[in-house]
Amino acid sequence: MAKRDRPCILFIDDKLAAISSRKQMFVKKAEVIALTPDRVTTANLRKASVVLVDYLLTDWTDSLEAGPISTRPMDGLALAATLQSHCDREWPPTAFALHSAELEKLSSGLPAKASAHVIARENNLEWVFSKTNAQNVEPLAQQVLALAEAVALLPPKWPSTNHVWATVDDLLGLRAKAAWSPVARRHVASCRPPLRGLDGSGHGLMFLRWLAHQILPYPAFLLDDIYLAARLRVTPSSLARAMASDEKFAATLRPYRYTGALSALLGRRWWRAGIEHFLWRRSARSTSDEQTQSLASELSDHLTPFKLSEPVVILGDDFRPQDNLISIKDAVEVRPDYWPAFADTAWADSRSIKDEPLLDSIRVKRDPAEG
Amino acid sequence: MPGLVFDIGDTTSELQLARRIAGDFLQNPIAVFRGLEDQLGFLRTANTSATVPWEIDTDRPIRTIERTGEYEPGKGGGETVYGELTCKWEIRRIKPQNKKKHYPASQFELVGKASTVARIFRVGAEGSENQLLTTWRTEIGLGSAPGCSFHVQLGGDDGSSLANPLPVPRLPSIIATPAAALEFLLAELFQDDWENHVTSEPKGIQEWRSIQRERFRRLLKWQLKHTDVERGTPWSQLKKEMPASDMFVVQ
Repeated sequence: MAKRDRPCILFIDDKLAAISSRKQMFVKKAEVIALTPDRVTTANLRKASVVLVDYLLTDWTDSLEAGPISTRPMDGLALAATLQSHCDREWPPTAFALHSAELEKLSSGLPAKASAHVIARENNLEWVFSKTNAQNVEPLAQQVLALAEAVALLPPKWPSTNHVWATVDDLLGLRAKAAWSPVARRHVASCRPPLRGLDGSGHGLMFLRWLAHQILPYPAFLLDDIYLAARLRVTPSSLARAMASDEKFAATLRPYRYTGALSALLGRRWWRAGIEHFLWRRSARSTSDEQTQSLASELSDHLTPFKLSEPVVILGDDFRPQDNLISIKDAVEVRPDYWPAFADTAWADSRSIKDEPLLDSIRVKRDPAEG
Repeated sequence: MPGLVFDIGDTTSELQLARRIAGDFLQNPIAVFRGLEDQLGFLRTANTSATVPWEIDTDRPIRTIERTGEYEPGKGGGETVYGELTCKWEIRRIKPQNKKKHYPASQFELVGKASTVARIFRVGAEGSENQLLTTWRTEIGLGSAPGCSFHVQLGGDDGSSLANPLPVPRLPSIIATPAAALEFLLAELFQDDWENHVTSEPKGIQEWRSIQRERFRRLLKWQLKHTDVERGTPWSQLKKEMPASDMFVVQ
């Protein structure tokens, strides 16, 4: 089972004209093949790192001759499932993703931007991409390329138990020499990565799915910028400013930036263990809020301390982290569907949750008296 | 005199199990516990023999959920309350013998302060502050520290409204670690629910039981041993005895 030389993206659409402009996005970065559904061959599947299927294929589905319904997929989701079943487990791994302007149809009423990973997970896909750029967390081309490159990183054969952690380290870009790597590895292990189970290429994809669906969207062993700001006890806007305009500060935190597989899929992420070790080491091995704030003020003039006690990140009505922190005293726990048990608690603003029915419906009612 | 030695693996497991078992009774279990675990993890490979704090900061306590009246059996209490727990221990990495300097340590020793503070608050009415009702500190005194080595002191030492101007009384205790002090707090605040919860054998309870049982056995055995005196009184003997440094180390 040989690795592919370079990432290859296979677009499947009933309207090829729509794809030609997208091809330009990947020049020199990946090979792009665009085909209508009736032209796809097993050789195409074998070559592709990512198969990107359009959701609505009405031109093609309408053209199919009448016959048993089992031979007539109704949309791209069904076609993707059919194509998945044609992939041989001995081939290099191939990720399947959906591409649609109408992801809401698949998101069961949840905001599409916040639930791409849920739609993908529920539909046996690695990812779903919106044709509307505003609904993708990062630009489409960057996200597709991130997925293709991650697939290319996967080992042709998932290693045996003895070597599995070396592969996990490689895929996550975790440097074994970093003083905080044992703690980081413990954090990773507590998030239950799929370490063994499937033979052939399938296991690598399972690992990527775990990363894409359960890790990157949530605060677990990786943190996004907003959760990092909360940990540093500074406002998220001031952290963004400092990262953008204070090179010394950015360089200080660079060793803790996540650079592993899918690191460009959902935006910048940070190793929690790395940040915690940095704070522990730089704050006389104390992790108190006072020490942290004092350190933050030394790190960059651009950082604005968050004055209230115990800052927490809150979710908005689109279930995405908001960039205004609040004190835990003003927060109430919420439990969105699929929020992993190993992730940090999800919070919402108790002062405004009544105005946000979706959030209010998932508020945790601790006291039985609350009904 | 060497400090009281703890196994890093056992102590980390204890924290992980406490997080798992007590999670439904706490508002913020994951982040705070993970912080304590991480501090031990960093110390394990740190090239230092310095005394370092192992702490839950007072600005980020472990906080229980709020419940009305459950501090009495049958929900017989009248107040709506919640609890908070913080701790500060002064500990030192024990360098593994005959190993390179970064070789992971398996033990740390308690060399200074060991204080776990529990506070119970009354939930204030809309718009008003929560009120501190009671506080106690579960402590381990070492070396020349007066009083029973494992003891509880009433009141705070933080200048709060319930600060105790005196260091006495030091009431004898059988609680050693922050995680064990958390179970004590939960069992006080949720008299029926905690009992029902732990007897329902939640996930992790077997391992928790095993760790706690071993500690209790060793501590109680040590206490029992020092009550067997021929001069003075059992209490005066127990009050001045210091535990052996390896009392909690399972060989």
